[in-house]
Amino acid sequence: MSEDPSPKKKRPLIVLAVSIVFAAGALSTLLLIYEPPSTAVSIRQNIHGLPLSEVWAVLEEQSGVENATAALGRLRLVAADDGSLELLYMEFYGDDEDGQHLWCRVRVSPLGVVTWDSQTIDKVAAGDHPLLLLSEIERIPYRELIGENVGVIVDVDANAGDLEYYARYKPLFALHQGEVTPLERVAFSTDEPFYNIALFCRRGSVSDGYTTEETTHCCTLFTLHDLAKAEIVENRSAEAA
Amino acid sequence: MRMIGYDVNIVNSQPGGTEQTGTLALSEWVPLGRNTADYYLSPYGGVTNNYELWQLSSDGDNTRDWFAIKHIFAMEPGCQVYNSSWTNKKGTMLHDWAAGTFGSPELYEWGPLGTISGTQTIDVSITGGTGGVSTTLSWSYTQPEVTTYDRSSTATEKAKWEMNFNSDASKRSTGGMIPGSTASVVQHSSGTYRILNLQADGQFYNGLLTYHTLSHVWNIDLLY
Repeated sequence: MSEDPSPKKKRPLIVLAVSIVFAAGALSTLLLIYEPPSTAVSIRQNIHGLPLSEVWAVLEEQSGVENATAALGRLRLVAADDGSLELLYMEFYGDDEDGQHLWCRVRVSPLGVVTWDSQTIDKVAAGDHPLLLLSEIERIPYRELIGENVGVIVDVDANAGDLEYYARYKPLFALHQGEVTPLERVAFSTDEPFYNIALFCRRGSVSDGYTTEETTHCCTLFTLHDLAKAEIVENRSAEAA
Repeated sequence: MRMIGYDVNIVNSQPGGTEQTGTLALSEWVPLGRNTADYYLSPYGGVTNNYELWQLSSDGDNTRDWFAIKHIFAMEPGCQVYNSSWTNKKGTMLHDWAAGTFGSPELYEWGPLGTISGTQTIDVSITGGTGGVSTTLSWSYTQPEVTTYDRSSTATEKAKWEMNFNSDASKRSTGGMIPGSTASVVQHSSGTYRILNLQADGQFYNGLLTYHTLSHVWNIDLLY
């Protein structure tokens, strides 16, 4: 547990409106405004084909984090039945050009407004480069895994220790370049953090003005990079899958 | 004013004599259940109450079972999500192992420990097991400009934390923490039993001496 109680805030909260022309495969500029005019928001946000790698390129440039030092903390994606993105929340770490440790938090609203802030901290959490995860997560075959017209939550976080996953609890998959391979068992015994990508199916309800979200854990995915940290990886037989 | 939402989650027992292979430890934490809950109400804000529940396999004890819970808590103020005047004031997380029905619950370890002030990265590592077994589950997170207080007690078998939002920036943006705890309970072989209640409270403030608390509770049962 780190103890420095007096970190300095690197910069105030900045609200950015992101206009990214995905159809053309090119990124447009980030606009530094507090209230984005409606015409400035033109993100095509759908979990099917969400270009997280390109989003990362913008974040890396704007945050001042040296690319080689970047590490993913957590990621959460929330999408509606039609795949439209309701929330993207991400935390990542890295050093700036002066070697100061930064903790960055990014939130993308349904309107495409990106809110982010960064603070200097005494210690960064251990982890892997965001692109290792984002480049795989953006290609998750959601329709294959959870079907059509189902809202989904993607939760990505890291654990370490003596942990063992079985397909009899929830289906397990290796994720690589948009393809998933069923696994029977994955066991870790390591101090090095590994990321698990959990998919939840959403059951939303609104009652008396309250919006509640109840979800069902559908499956867990691991990238090949993280499976390389496991002691045991057993594929699932075709009959069992 | 206080609003409470309840969810019951029934999980199935998984561990069943995991074999020791390669360099694996003698025992492992095996996932039992995992869920997410977002409890939002305009104009106040929202509380996130997510968890990962684990059971220790090959725990070396034929009279007790061991469980671990990783609790992902967050508060989002109304000023951010609803463009209202409500901001974060205080969050409370409770792991109520005493609410379980297995019998003789014993809170074993929890984290983070003590009082922690300011933005900093925190490593949490919790263990469980008897008879020389000590199996680890660990993770890291960074807390914003808040002060967190550890209110846990082995006398009550409850792990509890409070987080007070200090700065204007932290009051006006999403903030949370990821505590965890382990406990042992009397072992059973059949039936359905309550493991614990997992509660998240988010207190919001509108700057006019008016507070509003949103609470969400997971009642987590185990089916053998």
